Amino acid sequence: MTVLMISNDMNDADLAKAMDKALRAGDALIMDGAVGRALQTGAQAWIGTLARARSPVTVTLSGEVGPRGLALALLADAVTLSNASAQEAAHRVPLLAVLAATRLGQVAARAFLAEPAPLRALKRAGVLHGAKADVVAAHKTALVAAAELPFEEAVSFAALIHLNQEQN
Amino acid sequence: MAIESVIHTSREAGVTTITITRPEVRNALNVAVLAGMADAVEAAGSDGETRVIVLTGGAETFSVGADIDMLSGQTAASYVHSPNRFGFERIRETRLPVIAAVSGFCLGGGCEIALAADIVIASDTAIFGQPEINLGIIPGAGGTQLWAERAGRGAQAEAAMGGRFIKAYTARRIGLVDRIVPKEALLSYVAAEAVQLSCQAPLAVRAVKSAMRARWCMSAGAALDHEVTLMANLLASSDAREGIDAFLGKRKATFTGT
Repeated sequence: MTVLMISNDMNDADLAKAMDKALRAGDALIMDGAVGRALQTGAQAWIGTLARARSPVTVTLSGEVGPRGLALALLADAVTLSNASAQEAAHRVPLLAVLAATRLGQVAARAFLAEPAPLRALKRAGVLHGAKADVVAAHKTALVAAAELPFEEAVSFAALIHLNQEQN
Repeated sequence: MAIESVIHTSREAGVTTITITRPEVRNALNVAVLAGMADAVEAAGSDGETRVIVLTGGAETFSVGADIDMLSGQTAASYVHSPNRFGFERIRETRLPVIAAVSGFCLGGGCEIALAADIVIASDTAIFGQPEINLGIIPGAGGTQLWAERAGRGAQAEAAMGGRFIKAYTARRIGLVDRIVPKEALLSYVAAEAVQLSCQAPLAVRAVKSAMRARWCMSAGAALDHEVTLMANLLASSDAREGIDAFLGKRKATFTGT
């Protein structure tokens, strides 16, 4: 397990680099710290990295949660809250609309954006749950494949995971 | 550096698998690797047994590209006649079908070797790129042509001019690779695919490759004519008779490559 402490003076390039390094180890990643920053174009780098991570990712949201924290929550496999607060409508930004649509589905994304309180929107969308890392780890590559590949190829991908598990 | 220490070759059921084995430098290419791969590819082409070649770097890394000192030692005059330049050509020119099994970094010359294969199967950890532009040079072994063949001119320009890396799923989406499989299953999946391909009529498979590659050196019209010639020649083969007889007899064909 690798713990990544995020600070508010960490820009998107630094965050992307730190995530890459942490995920390269192949262990479960836990992210904690300050997540109040806004989302800028540089966030694309770590959004892509996190969306395709093979390891389970847990995010703890605490203190002031801004668009960066909300994006991390939408991309994580498990999210926990600890004394967190967020400004009303902080989740109504284009990058979060895309993440919500991709992760929650088009209909649920609209409900997510319609709810004015960001943390309540996350809760109602079912994002706030503490899934166990080992449970997620067993299915992570299949979940990513399902998001990235056409249906038949994703099924074939999952079938190969089964076959590989049977053979080992 | 001995070729045997940087290249491992094995043959099973008509499939020759050529593996780069320099894990300590993430399978960087040097003259020994390129010459070893080219020798192994040519040997497979003439051994009379191999029907399919698999090129791989194993489950972790395909290749990070050329050793930097392989390039820094070259001059304008020496590069054109260098063993590394001819190594790429010799690998590309095999008449046998080639499957590249790619995992992890597949950069520079490594990417040029992989993309010259007929089928590219990548693991979900694969990363492709032509970073040569960052050194003030260009990909010099197919990296300004092979992306366009598979993924179009835009992807080609972004890769070769921008030096940008792309990850496995993006590579699949743009058509740069033909299949994404879990990293843990890459080698066994490719081995099974290669065996399946080796059961196809060998002359016909080679004819398909020849017809497909014709566009590299002919106009579209000439390539279509070449296709007709290949087809006509195949009709006289034992394999074609066997294929038609097996179809009519509702049995599985056994092709001998004659």
